[in-house]
Amino acid sequence: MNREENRNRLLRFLETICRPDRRLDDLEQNENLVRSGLIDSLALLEIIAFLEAEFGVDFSTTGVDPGQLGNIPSILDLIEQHTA
Amino acid sequence: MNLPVAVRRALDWHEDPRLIAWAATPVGRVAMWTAAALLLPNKSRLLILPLLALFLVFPERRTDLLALGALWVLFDRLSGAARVAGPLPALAGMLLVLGVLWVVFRAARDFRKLPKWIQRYPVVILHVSLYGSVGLAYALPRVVPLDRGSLLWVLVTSFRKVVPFLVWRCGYMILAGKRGSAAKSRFRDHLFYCLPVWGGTLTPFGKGHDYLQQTRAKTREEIGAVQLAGLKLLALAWIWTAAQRLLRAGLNGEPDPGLSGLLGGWHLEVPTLARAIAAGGKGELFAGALWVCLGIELIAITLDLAIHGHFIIGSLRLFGFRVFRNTYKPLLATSLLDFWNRFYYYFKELLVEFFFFPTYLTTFRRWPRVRIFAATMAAAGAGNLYYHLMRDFGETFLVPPGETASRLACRLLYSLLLGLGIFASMLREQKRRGKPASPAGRWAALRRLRAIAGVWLFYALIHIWSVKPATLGFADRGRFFLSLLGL
Repeated sequence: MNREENRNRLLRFLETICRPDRRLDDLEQNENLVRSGLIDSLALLEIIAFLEAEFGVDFSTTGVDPGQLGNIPSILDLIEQHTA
Repeated sequence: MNLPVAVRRALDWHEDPRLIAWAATPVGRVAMWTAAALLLPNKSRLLILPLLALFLVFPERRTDLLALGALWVLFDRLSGAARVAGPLPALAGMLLVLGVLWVVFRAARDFRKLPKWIQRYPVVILHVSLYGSVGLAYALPRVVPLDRGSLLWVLVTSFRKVVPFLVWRCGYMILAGKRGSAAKSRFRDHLFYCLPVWGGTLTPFGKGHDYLQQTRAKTREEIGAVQLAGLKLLALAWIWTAAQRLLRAGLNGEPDPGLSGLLGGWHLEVPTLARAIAAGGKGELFAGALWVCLGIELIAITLDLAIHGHFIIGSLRLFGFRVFRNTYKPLLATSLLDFWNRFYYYFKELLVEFFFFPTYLTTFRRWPRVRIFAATMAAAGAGNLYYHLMRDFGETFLVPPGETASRLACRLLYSLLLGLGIFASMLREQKRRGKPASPAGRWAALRRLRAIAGVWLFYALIHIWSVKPATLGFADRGRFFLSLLGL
Protein backbone atom coordinates (compact mmCIF):
# COMPACT_ATOMS: atom_id res chain seq x y z
CA MET A 1 0.00 0.00 0.00
CA ASN A 2 1.53 3.36 -0.94
CA ARG A 3 1.82 6.51 1.10
CA GLU A 4 -1.09 8.22 -0.64
CA GLU A 5 -3.46 5.37 0.16
CA ASN A 6 -2.25 5.29 3.76
CA ARG A 7 -2.79 9.02 3.95
CA ASN A 8 -6.36 8.74 2.69
CA ARG A 9 -7.18 6.01 5.22
CA LEU A 10 -5.63 8.05 7.99
CA LEU A 11 -7.54 11.19 7.00
CA ARG A 12 -10.82 9.29 6.89
CA PHE A 13 -10.13 8.02 10.38
CA LEU A 14 -9.07 11.43 11.72
CA GLU A 15 -12.34 12.88 10.50
CA THR A 16 -14.19 10.54 12.86
CA ILE A 17 -12.21 11.60 15.93
CA CYS A 18 -11.54 15.29 15.40
CA ARG A 19 -13.19 17.75 17.75
CA PRO A 20 -16.71 18.71 16.71
CA ASP A 21 -15.81 22.39 16.38
CA ARG A 22 -12.78 21.81 14.14
CA ARG A 23 -12.38 20.74 10.51
CA LEU A 24 -9.64 18.59 9.08
CA ASP A 25 -9.44 20.86 6.02
CA ASP A 26 -8.14 23.68 8.22
CA LEU A 27 -5.03 21.70 9.07
CA GLU A 28 -1.76 22.65 7.41
CA GLN A 29 0.62 19.97 6.12
CA ASN A 30 2.98 19.66 9.12
CA GLU A 31 0.78 21.20 11.76
CA ASN A 32 0.63 19.48 15.14
CA LEU A 33 -2.70 17.72 15.56
CA VAL A 34 -3.08 18.37 19.27
CA ARG A 35 -1.60 21.87 19.24
CA SER A 36 -3.85 22.87 16.36
CA GLY A 37 -6.82 21.89 18.49
CA LEU A 38 -7.99 19.35 15.91
CA ILE A 39 -7.80 16.46 18.34
CA ASP A 40 -7.34 16.21 22.09
CA SER A 41 -4.79 14.05 23.87
CA LEU A 42 -7.40 11.33 24.39
CA ALA A 43 -7.68 10.99 20.63
CA LEU A 44 -4.02 9.93 20.54
CA LEU A 45 -5.16 6.69 22.14
CA GLU A 46 -7.63 6.17 19.37
CA ILE A 47 -4.91 6.82 16.81
CA ILE A 48 -2.79 4.15 18.51
CA ALA A 49 -5.67 1.67 18.48
CA PHE A 50 -6.30 2.51 14.80
CA LEU A 51 -2.65 2.00 13.83
CA GLU A 52 -2.54 -1.30 15.72
CA ALA A 53 -5.72 -2.60 14.14
CA GLU A 54 -5.41 -1.26 10.59
CA PHE A 55 -1.67 -1.38 9.98
CA GLY A 56 -0.48 -3.93 12.53
CA VAL A 57 1.81 -1.40 14.20
CA ASP A 58 3.16 -2.95 17.39
CA PHE A 59 4.14 -0.29 19.92
CA SER A 60 4.79 -2.75 22.73
CA THR A 61 8.51 -3.08 21.94
CA THR A 62 9.32 0.52 21.06
CA GLY A 63 6.82 2.35 23.27
CA VAL A 64 4.98 5.44 22.11
CA ASP A 65 6.58 8.75 21.36
CA PRO A 66 3.67 11.23 21.41
CA GLY A 67 5.75 13.48 19.14
CA GLN A 68 5.63 10.83 16.41
CA LEU A 69 1.86 10.92 16.48
CA GLY A 70 1.85 14.71 16.42
CA ASN A 71 1.31 15.33 12.71
CA ILE A 72 0.14 13.48 9.64
CA PRO A 73 3.53 13.08 7.85
CA SER A 74 5.16 11.62 10.98
CA ILE A 75 2.29 9.17 11.47
CA LEU A 76 2.71 8.10 7.85
CA ASP A 77 6.46 7.66 8.45
CA LEU A 78 5.65 5.50 11.45
CA ILE A 79 3.31 3.32 9.37
CA GLU A 80 5.98 2.91 6.72
CA GLN A 81 8.61 1.95 9.31
CA HIS A 82 6.38 -0.73 10.74
CA THR A 83 5.04 -2.11 7.47
CA ALA A 84 8.34 -2.07 5.56
CA MET B 1 -10.72 46.79 14.18
CA ASN B 2 -13.23 45.74 16.85
CA LEU B 3 -12.26 45.60 20.51
CA PRO B 4 -11.83 41.83 21.06
CA VAL B 5 -9.54 41.62 18.00
CA ALA B 6 -7.50 44.57 19.25
CA VAL B 7 -7.21 43.02 22.71
CA ARG B 8 -6.21 39.64 21.25
CA ARG B 9 -3.58 41.32 19.11
CA ALA B 10 -2.21 43.22 22.10
CA LEU B 11 -2.05 40.05 24.19
CA ASP B 12 -0.33 38.19 21.34
CA TRP B 13 2.34 40.86 20.92
CA HIS B 14 5.01 38.18 20.89
CA GLU B 15 3.62 36.76 17.62
CA ASP B 16 3.97 40.00 15.67
CA PRO B 17 6.08 39.10 12.56
CA ARG B 18 7.88 42.49 12.58
CA LEU B 19 8.86 42.06 16.22
CA ILE B 20 10.04 38.51 15.56
CA ALA B 21 12.17 39.65 12.63
CA TRP B 22 13.64 42.43 14.78
CA ALA B 23 14.37 40.02 17.64
CA ALA B 24 16.68 38.11 15.30
CA THR B 25 18.82 41.19 14.54
CA PRO B 26 21.94 42.00 16.62
CA VAL B 27 20.18 44.92 18.33
CA GLY B 28 17.12 42.78 18.89
CA ARG B 29 19.22 40.07 20.52
CA VAL B 30 20.75 42.57 22.93
CA ALA B 31 17.26 43.75 23.74
CA MET B 32 16.14 40.15 24.36
CA TRP B 33 19.02 39.61 26.75
CA THR B 34 18.24 42.86 28.58
CA ALA B 35 14.58 41.94 28.89
CA ALA B 36 15.56 38.52 30.22
CA ALA B 37 17.85 40.20 32.78
CA LEU B 38 14.88 42.25 33.99
CA LEU B 39 12.37 39.41 34.04
CA LEU B 40 14.29 36.40 35.31
CA PRO B 41 13.94 35.67 39.02
CA ASN B 42 17.01 36.52 41.13
CA LYS B 43 18.11 32.95 41.78
CA SER B 44 18.27 32.13 38.04
CA ARG B 45 20.01 35.25 36.78
CA LEU B 46 23.57 34.40 37.78
CA LEU B 47 23.61 31.18 35.79
CA ILE B 48 21.22 31.85 32.92
CA LEU B 49 22.33 35.31 31.80
CA PRO B 50 25.96 34.47 30.90
CA LEU B 51 24.82 31.31 29.10
CA LEU B 52 22.09 33.23 27.30
CA ALA B 53 24.57 35.86 26.15
CA LEU B 54 26.78 33.15 24.68
CA PHE B 55 23.79 31.39 23.14
CA LEU B 56 22.67 34.58 21.41
CA VAL B 57 26.09 34.83 19.78
CA PHE B 58 26.67 31.12 19.14
CA PRO B 59 23.21 29.52 18.79
CA GLU B 60 24.75 26.41 17.19
CA ARG B 61 26.59 25.71 20.47
CA ARG B 62 23.33 25.50 22.45
CA THR B 63 23.82 21.92 23.69
CA ASP B 64 27.45 22.52 24.70
CA LEU B 65 26.53 25.69 26.60
CA LEU B 66 23.65 24.03 28.41
CA ALA B 67 25.83 21.02 29.25
CA LEU B 68 28.38 23.41 30.72
CA GLY B 69 25.57 24.97 32.73
CA ALA B 70 24.58 21.48 33.90
CA LEU B 71 28.00 21.03 35.47
CA TRP B 72 27.48 24.29 37.33
CA VAL B 73 24.03 23.12 38.47
CA LEU B 74 25.61 19.94 39.83
CA PHE B 75 28.36 21.85 41.60
CA ASP B 76 25.78 24.21 43.06
CA ARG B 77 23.73 21.30 44.41
CA LEU B 78 26.82 19.87 46.06
CA SER B 79 28.23 23.15 47.31
CA GLY B 80 27.06 22.36 50.86
CA ALA B 81 29.25 19.26 50.87
CA ALA B 82 32.08 21.25 49.30
CA ARG B 83 31.93 23.84 52.08
CA VAL B 84 32.34 21.11 54.70
CA ALA B 85 34.82 18.84 52.95
CA GLY B 86 36.68 21.11 50.53
CA PRO B 87 36.76 21.20 46.73
CA LEU B 88 38.52 17.89 45.99
CA PRO B 89 36.08 15.56 47.78
CA ALA B 90 33.26 17.62 46.25
CA LEU B 91 34.78 16.97 42.84
CA ALA B 92 34.69 13.26 43.67
CA GLY B 93 30.98 13.67 44.50
CA MET B 94 30.40 15.32 41.14
CA LEU B 95 32.24 12.53 39.36
CA LEU B 96 30.11 9.94 41.14
CA VAL B 97 26.88 11.58 39.97
CA LEU B 98 28.24 12.03 36.44
CA GLY B 99 29.26 8.36 36.55
CA VAL B 100 25.69 7.35 37.34
CA LEU B 101 24.43 9.45 34.44
CA TRP B 102 27.08 7.98 32.14
CA VAL B 103 26.00 4.42 32.94
CA VAL B 104 22.36 5.27 32.18
CA PHE B 105 23.41 7.07 29.00
CA ARG B 106 25.34 4.02 27.79
CA ALA B 107 22.35 1.82 28.56
CA ALA B 108 20.13 4.16 26.51
CA ARG B 109 22.55 4.49 23.60
CA ASP B 110 23.21 0.75 23.37
CA PHE B 111 19.67 -0.21 24.30
CA ARG B 112 19.37 -2.96 21.67
CA LYS B 113 22.50 -4.64 23.01
CA LEU B 114 21.15 -4.89 26.56
CA PRO B 115 20.00 -8.29 27.85
CA LYS B 116 16.41 -9.03 26.84
CA TRP B 117 15.11 -8.95 30.41
CA ILE B 118 16.42 -5.39 30.82
CA GLN B 119 14.98 -4.34 27.46
CA ARG B 120 11.64 -5.67 28.64
CA TYR B 121 11.44 -3.66 31.85
CA PRO B 122 14.07 -0.91 31.55
CA VAL B 123 12.27 1.77 33.55
CA VAL B 124 11.40 -0.60 36.39
CA ILE B 125 15.02 -1.72 36.58
CA LEU B 126 16.19 1.88 36.49
CA HIS B 127 13.91 2.83 39.39
CA VAL B 128 14.83 -0.19 41.48
CA SER B 129 18.53 0.52 40.92
CA LEU B 130 18.45 4.24 41.58
CA TYR B 131 15.98 4.34 44.45
CA GLY B 132 17.57 1.18 45.87
CA SER B 133 20.98 2.87 45.83
CA VAL B 134 19.57 5.98 47.46
CA GLY B 135 18.06 3.74 50.15
CA LEU B 136 21.48 2.16 50.71
CA ALA B 137 23.05 5.61 50.89
CA TYR B 138 20.62 6.45 53.70
CA ALA B 139 21.18 3.13 55.45
CA LEU B 140 24.98 3.14 55.23
CA PRO B 141 25.69 5.76 57.93
CA ARG B 142 23.60 3.65 60.37
CA VAL B 143 25.92 0.69 59.79
CA VAL B 144 29.26 2.40 59.18
CA PRO B 145 29.81 5.62 61.12
CA LEU B 146 30.89 8.30 58.66
CA ASP B 147 33.09 11.24 59.62
CA ARG B 148 31.48 14.47 58.49
CA GLY B 149 33.72 15.83 55.76
CA SER B 150 35.34 12.48 54.88
CA LEU B 151 35.43 11.33 51.27
CA LEU B 152 32.87 8.58 51.87
CA TRP B 153 30.58 11.07 53.61
CA VAL B 154 30.77 13.38 50.59
CA LEU B 155 30.02 10.53 48.20
CA VAL B 156 27.04 9.35 50.23
CA THR B 157 25.74 12.91 50.66
CA SER B 158 26.13 13.66 46.95
CA PHE B 159 24.24 10.54 46.04
CA ARG B 160 21.39 11.27 48.42
CA LYS B 161 21.12 14.90 47.37
CA VAL B 162 21.21 14.55 43.61
CA VAL B 163 20.12 11.08 42.49
CA PRO B 164 16.41 11.38 43.47
CA PHE B 165 16.30 14.51 41.27
CA LEU B 166 17.63 12.46 38.35
CA VAL B 167 15.34 9.43 38.50
CA TRP B 168 12.58 10.58 36.14
CA ARG B 169 15.04 12.43 33.90
CA CYS B 170 17.05 9.23 33.51
CA GLY B 171 13.72 7.57 32.75
CA TYR B 172 13.30 9.87 29.74
CA MET B 173 16.83 8.96 28.68
CA ILE B 174 15.90 5.28 28.79
CA LEU B 175 12.68 5.93 26.84
CA ALA B 176 14.81 7.60 24.14
CA GLY B 177 16.94 4.45 24.13
CA LYS B 178 13.89 2.25 23.80
CA ARG B 179 12.56 4.30 20.89
CA GLY B 180 15.97 4.19 19.21
CA SER B 181 16.44 7.96 19.19
CA ALA B 182 19.37 7.86 21.63
CA ALA B 183 21.44 5.52 19.46
CA LYS B 184 23.46 8.30 17.83
CA SER B 185 23.35 10.79 20.67
CA ARG B 186 26.20 12.11 22.78
CA PHE B 187 26.45 12.29 26.55
CA ARG B 188 26.03 16.06 26.52
CA ASP B 189 22.75 15.70 24.59
CA HIS B 190 21.34 14.17 27.76
CA LEU B 191 23.40 15.85 30.45
CA PHE B 192 21.80 19.25 29.86
CA TYR B 193 18.22 18.17 30.62
CA CYS B 194 19.22 15.91 33.51
CA LEU B 195 20.71 18.88 35.36
CA PRO B 196 18.76 21.72 33.76
CA VAL B 197 19.84 25.32 34.11
CA TRP B 198 16.17 26.30 33.81
CA GLY B 199 15.43 24.56 37.10
CA GLY B 200 12.63 22.24 38.05
CA THR B 201 11.41 19.77 40.59
CA LEU B 202 11.54 15.98 40.48
CA THR B 203 9.19 16.39 37.52
CA PRO B 204 11.24 17.15 34.40
CA PHE B 205 9.84 20.35 32.88
CA GLY B 206 10.57 20.09 29.18
CA LYS B 207 10.58 16.27 29.50
CA GLY B 208 13.68 14.70 27.95
CA HIS B 209 15.73 14.05 24.85
CA ASP B 210 12.99 13.34 22.31
CA TYR B 211 10.70 16.22 23.17
CA LEU B 212 13.56 18.72 23.36
CA GLN B 213 14.88 17.54 20.00
CA GLN B 214 11.45 17.95 18.42
CA THR B 215 10.89 21.42 19.86
CA ARG B 216 14.31 22.89 19.07
CA ALA B 217 14.05 26.16 17.10
CA LYS B 218 16.74 26.24 14.44
CA THR B 219 16.95 29.52 12.56
CA ARG B 220 17.64 32.87 14.21
CA GLU B 221 14.07 33.94 13.46
CA GLU B 222 12.57 30.82 14.96
CA ILE B 223 14.71 31.27 18.03
CA GLY B 224 13.64 34.92 18.30
CA ALA B 225 9.97 33.92 18.14
CA VAL B 226 10.37 31.31 20.87
CA GLN B 227 12.35 33.71 23.04
CA LEU B 228 9.62 36.32 22.78
CA ALA B 229 7.12 33.68 23.93
CA GLY B 230 9.49 32.93 26.80
CA LEU B 231 9.67 36.59 27.83
CA LYS B 232 5.89 36.73 27.77
CA LEU B 233 5.72 33.78 30.16
CA LEU B 234 8.26 35.38 32.50
CA ALA B 235 6.20 38.59 32.53
CA LEU B 236 3.05 36.57 33.20
CA ALA B 237 4.80 34.84 36.10
CA TRP B 238 5.38 38.21 37.75
CA ILE B 239 1.77 39.27 37.20
CA TRP B 240 0.55 36.01 38.78
CA THR B 241 2.99 36.49 41.65
CA ALA B 242 1.36 39.85 42.41
CA ALA B 243 -2.11 38.29 42.15
CA GLN B 244 -1.08 35.45 44.44
CA ARG B 245 0.26 37.81 47.10
CA LEU B 246 -2.88 39.90 46.91
CA LEU B 247 -5.02 36.80 47.28
CA ARG B 248 -3.10 35.44 50.25
CA ALA B 249 -2.83 38.81 52.02
CA GLY B 250 -6.27 40.21 51.18
CA LEU B 251 -8.32 37.05 51.59
CA ASN B 252 -6.31 34.72 53.81
CA GLY B 253 -4.63 37.45 55.91
CA GLU B 254 -1.15 36.04 55.43
CA PRO B 255 1.54 38.55 56.45
CA ASP B 256 3.09 40.26 53.44
CA PRO B 257 5.64 42.98 54.10
CA GLY B 258 4.88 44.76 50.80
CA LEU B 259 1.10 44.54 50.83
CA SER B 260 0.09 44.71 54.48
CA GLY B 261 0.73 48.46 54.59
CA LEU B 262 -1.12 48.97 51.33
CA LEU B 263 -4.16 47.07 52.60
CA GLY B 264 -3.90 48.74 56.02
CA GLY B 265 -3.92 45.31 57.70
CA TRP B 266 -7.39 44.66 56.27
CA HIS B 267 -8.32 41.18 55.02
CA LEU B 268 -11.37 38.99 54.62
CA GLU B 269 -10.34 36.50 57.32
CA VAL B 270 -10.94 33.49 55.13
CA PRO B 271 -8.60 30.78 56.43
CA THR B 272 -6.36 28.79 54.13
CA LEU B 273 -7.59 25.26 53.51
CA ALA B 274 -4.86 23.81 55.74
CA ARG B 275 -5.88 26.08 58.63
CA ALA B 276 -9.56 25.27 58.15
CA ILE B 277 -8.83 21.53 58.16
CA ALA B 278 -6.63 21.89 61.24
CA ALA B 279 -9.51 23.66 62.97
CA GLY B 280 -11.60 20.55 62.23
CA GLY B 281 -14.14 22.52 60.21
CA LYS B 282 -15.43 23.87 63.50
CA GLY B 283 -15.31 27.25 65.10
CA GLU B 284 -16.77 30.47 63.79
CA LEU B 285 -16.92 29.40 60.17
CA PHE B 286 -20.21 28.32 58.66
CA ALA B 287 -20.39 25.86 55.76
CA GLY B 288 -20.63 28.63 53.13
CA ALA B 289 -17.35 30.16 54.29
CA LEU B 290 -15.70 26.74 54.11
CA TRP B 291 -16.78 26.43 50.48
CA VAL B 292 -15.29 29.87 49.80
CA CYS B 293 -12.06 28.75 51.44
CA LEU B 294 -12.04 25.64 49.24
CA GLY B 295 -12.53 27.70 46.06
CA ILE B 296 -9.83 30.18 47.02
CA GLU B 297 -7.44 27.31 47.68
CA LEU B 298 -8.00 25.95 44.16
CA ILE B 299 -7.20 29.37 42.70
CA ALA B 300 -4.14 29.70 44.96
CA ILE B 301 -2.63 26.33 44.06
CA THR B 302 -3.25 27.01 40.39
CA LEU B 303 -1.47 30.34 40.72
CA ASP B 304 1.39 28.67 42.60
CA LEU B 305 1.86 26.16 39.84
CA ALA B 306 1.50 28.75 37.07
CA ILE B 307 4.11 31.02 38.66
CA HIS B 308 6.58 28.23 39.22
CA GLY B 309 6.01 26.69 35.78
CA HIS B 310 6.09 29.99 33.87
CA PHE B 311 9.47 30.91 35.36
CA ILE B 312 10.89 27.52 34.39
CA ILE B 313 9.32 27.23 30.94
CA GLY B 314 10.00 30.92 30.23
CA SER B 315 13.70 30.30 30.99
CA LEU B 316 13.73 27.16 28.84
CA ARG B 317 12.18 29.04 25.91
CA LEU B 318 14.94 31.64 26.14
CA PHE B 319 17.24 28.90 24.86
CA GLY B 320 15.04 28.35 21.82
CA PHE B 321 12.96 25.32 22.80
CA ARG B 322 9.38 25.63 21.61
CA VAL B 323 7.94 23.75 24.58
CA PHE B 324 4.40 23.76 25.93
CA ARG B 325 3.47 25.79 28.97
CA ASN B 326 3.20 23.84 32.19
CA THR B 327 -0.07 25.52 33.18
CA TYR B 328 -2.52 26.85 30.60
CA LYS B 329 -5.79 28.33 31.88
CA PRO B 330 -6.92 25.23 33.80
CA LEU B 331 -9.61 27.17 35.65
CA LEU B 332 -11.42 27.60 32.33
CA ALA B 333 -11.41 23.86 31.59
CA THR B 334 -14.82 22.36 30.91
CA SER B 335 -13.98 18.74 31.65
CA LEU B 336 -11.92 16.90 34.25
CA LEU B 337 -9.69 15.56 31.49
CA ASP B 338 -9.14 19.03 30.07
CA PHE B 339 -8.22 20.40 33.50
CA TRP B 340 -5.77 17.56 34.04
CA ASN B 341 -4.12 18.38 30.69
CA ARG B 342 -3.82 22.06 31.47
CA PHE B 343 -3.08 22.15 35.19
CA TYR B 344 0.35 20.51 35.48
CA TYR B 345 1.26 19.46 31.97
CA TYR B 346 4.72 18.01 32.62
CA PHE B 347 3.58 15.90 35.56
CA LYS B 348 0.67 14.63 33.49
CA GLU B 349 3.07 13.83 30.67
CA LEU B 350 5.32 11.95 33.08
CA LEU B 351 2.38 9.82 34.20
CA VAL B 352 1.24 9.29 30.62
CA GLU B 353 4.65 8.26 29.29
CA PHE B 354 5.77 6.09 32.20
CA PHE B 355 2.48 4.56 33.31
CA PHE B 356 -0.37 5.18 30.91
CA PHE B 357 1.17 4.14 27.59
CA PRO B 358 3.06 1.09 28.93
CA THR B 359 -0.20 -0.22 30.44
CA TYR B 360 -2.31 0.76 27.46
CA LEU B 361 -0.02 -0.96 24.99
CA THR B 362 0.31 -4.23 26.83
CA THR B 363 -2.98 -4.99 28.56
CA PHE B 364 -6.59 -5.70 27.60
CA ARG B 365 -6.08 -4.97 23.93
CA ARG B 366 -9.38 -6.60 23.01
CA TRP B 367 -11.47 -4.59 25.45
CA PRO B 368 -11.10 -0.88 24.58
CA ARG B 369 -12.88 0.47 27.67
CA VAL B 370 -11.13 -1.84 30.10
CA ARG B 371 -7.90 -0.96 28.35
CA ILE B 372 -8.44 2.76 28.96
CA PHE B 373 -9.60 2.11 32.53
CA ALA B 374 -6.50 0.05 33.34
CA ALA B 375 -4.18 2.64 31.77
CA THR B 376 -5.89 5.57 33.49
CA MET B 377 -5.77 3.91 36.89
CA ALA B 378 -2.13 2.95 36.28
CA ALA B 379 -1.28 6.60 35.57
CA ALA B 380 -3.52 8.86 37.64
CA GLY B 381 -3.94 6.25 40.36
CA ALA B 382 -0.90 3.99 40.83
CA GLY B 383 1.67 6.22 39.10
CA ASN B 384 0.53 9.29 40.95
CA LEU B 385 0.67 7.40 44.24
CA TYR B 386 4.13 6.00 43.52
CA TYR B 387 5.56 9.38 42.48
CA HIS B 388 4.39 11.07 45.67
CA LEU B 389 5.33 8.23 47.99
CA MET B 390 8.88 8.21 46.64
CA ARG B 391 9.06 12.00 46.77
CA ASP B 392 7.73 12.16 50.32
CA PHE B 393 9.27 8.89 51.48
CA GLY B 394 10.63 10.27 54.74
CA GLU B 395 7.48 12.05 55.83
CA THR B 396 5.32 9.07 54.89
CA PHE B 397 7.27 6.08 56.13
CA LEU B 398 9.75 7.37 58.70
CA VAL B 399 7.02 8.39 61.16
CA PRO B 400 5.00 6.36 63.72
CA PRO B 401 2.90 3.59 62.07
CA GLY B 402 -0.42 5.32 62.78
CA GLU B 403 0.69 8.42 60.93
CA THR B 404 2.06 6.35 58.06
CA ALA B 405 -1.34 4.67 57.72
CA SER B 406 -3.14 8.02 57.83
CA ARG B 407 -0.86 9.61 55.20
CA LEU B 408 -1.08 6.57 52.97
CA ALA B 409 -4.86 6.58 53.23
CA CYS B 410 -5.01 10.26 52.19
CA ARG B 411 -2.80 9.71 49.18
CA LEU B 412 -4.60 6.49 48.22
CA LEU B 413 -8.01 8.12 48.33
CA TYR B 414 -6.78 11.14 46.37
CA SER B 415 -5.21 8.97 43.66
CA LEU B 416 -8.25 6.71 43.44
CA LEU B 417 -10.68 9.62 43.10
CA LEU B 418 -8.48 11.33 40.54
CA GLY B 419 -8.17 8.17 38.46
CA LEU B 420 -11.89 7.47 38.54
CA GLY B 421 -12.75 11.10 37.74
CA ILE B 422 -10.44 11.21 34.74
CA PHE B 423 -11.67 7.85 33.46
CA ALA B 424 -15.29 9.01 33.68
CA SER B 425 -14.34 12.21 31.89
CA MET B 426 -12.55 10.27 29.15
CA LEU B 427 -15.62 8.14 28.51
CA ARG B 428 -17.78 11.24 28.36
CA GLU B 429 -15.46 12.94 25.90
CA GLN B 430 -15.33 9.82 23.77
CA LYS B 431 -19.12 9.70 23.57
CA ARG B 432 -19.21 13.32 22.52
CA ARG B 433 -16.68 12.82 19.74
CA GLY B 434 -17.98 12.89 16.20
CA LYS B 435 -21.23 14.57 17.26
CA PRO B 436 -21.90 18.11 16.05
CA ALA B 437 -20.89 20.90 18.43
CA SER B 438 -23.64 22.28 20.68
CA PRO B 439 -25.27 25.32 19.08
CA ALA B 440 -24.03 28.67 20.28
CA GLY B 441 -26.61 30.89 21.89
CA ARG B 442 -27.90 32.24 25.14
CA TRP B 443 -27.58 28.90 26.91
CA ALA B 444 -24.18 28.03 25.56
CA ALA B 445 -22.43 30.36 28.00
CA LEU B 446 -24.48 28.98 30.88
CA ARG B 447 -23.68 25.39 29.89
CA ARG B 448 -20.03 26.29 29.77
CA LEU B 449 -20.17 27.95 33.19
CA ARG B 450 -21.90 24.91 34.65
CA ALA B 451 -19.21 22.63 33.20
CA ILE B 452 -16.43 24.84 34.60
CA ALA B 453 -18.12 24.87 38.03
CA GLY B 454 -18.28 21.07 37.99
CA VAL B 455 -14.56 20.85 37.26
CA TRP B 456 -13.76 23.31 40.07
CA LEU B 457 -15.93 21.34 42.47
CA PHE B 458 -14.25 18.02 41.72
CA TYR B 459 -10.67 19.26 41.94
CA ALA B 460 -11.30 21.46 44.98
CA LEU B 461 -12.89 18.53 46.81
CA ILE B 462 -10.17 15.99 46.07
CA HIS B 463 -7.54 18.54 47.04
CA ILE B 464 -8.77 18.18 50.63
CA TRP B 465 -6.86 14.89 50.66
CA SER B 466 -3.64 16.24 49.21
CA VAL B 467 -3.23 19.69 50.75
CA LYS B 468 -0.06 20.10 52.80
CA PRO B 469 1.11 19.79 55.52
CA ALA B 470 1.21 16.01 55.73
CA THR B 471 0.59 16.26 59.47
CA LEU B 472 -3.11 16.85 58.74
CA GLY B 473 -4.58 13.43 59.38
CA PHE B 474 -7.07 11.44 57.33
CA ALA B 475 -9.72 11.90 60.04
CA ASP B 476 -9.20 15.70 60.14
CA ARG B 477 -9.64 15.91 56.41
CA GLY B 478 -12.71 13.66 56.55
CA ARG B 479 -14.26 15.86 59.26
CA PHE B 480 -13.64 18.94 57.16
CA PHE B 481 -15.31 17.28 54.17
CA LEU B 482 -18.38 16.46 56.26
CA SER B 483 -18.51 19.98 57.66
CA LEU B 484 -18.79 21.27 54.08
CA LEU B 485 -22.11 19.46 53.97
CA GLY B 486 -23.10 21.00 57.28
CA LEU B 487 -22.57 17.69 59.14
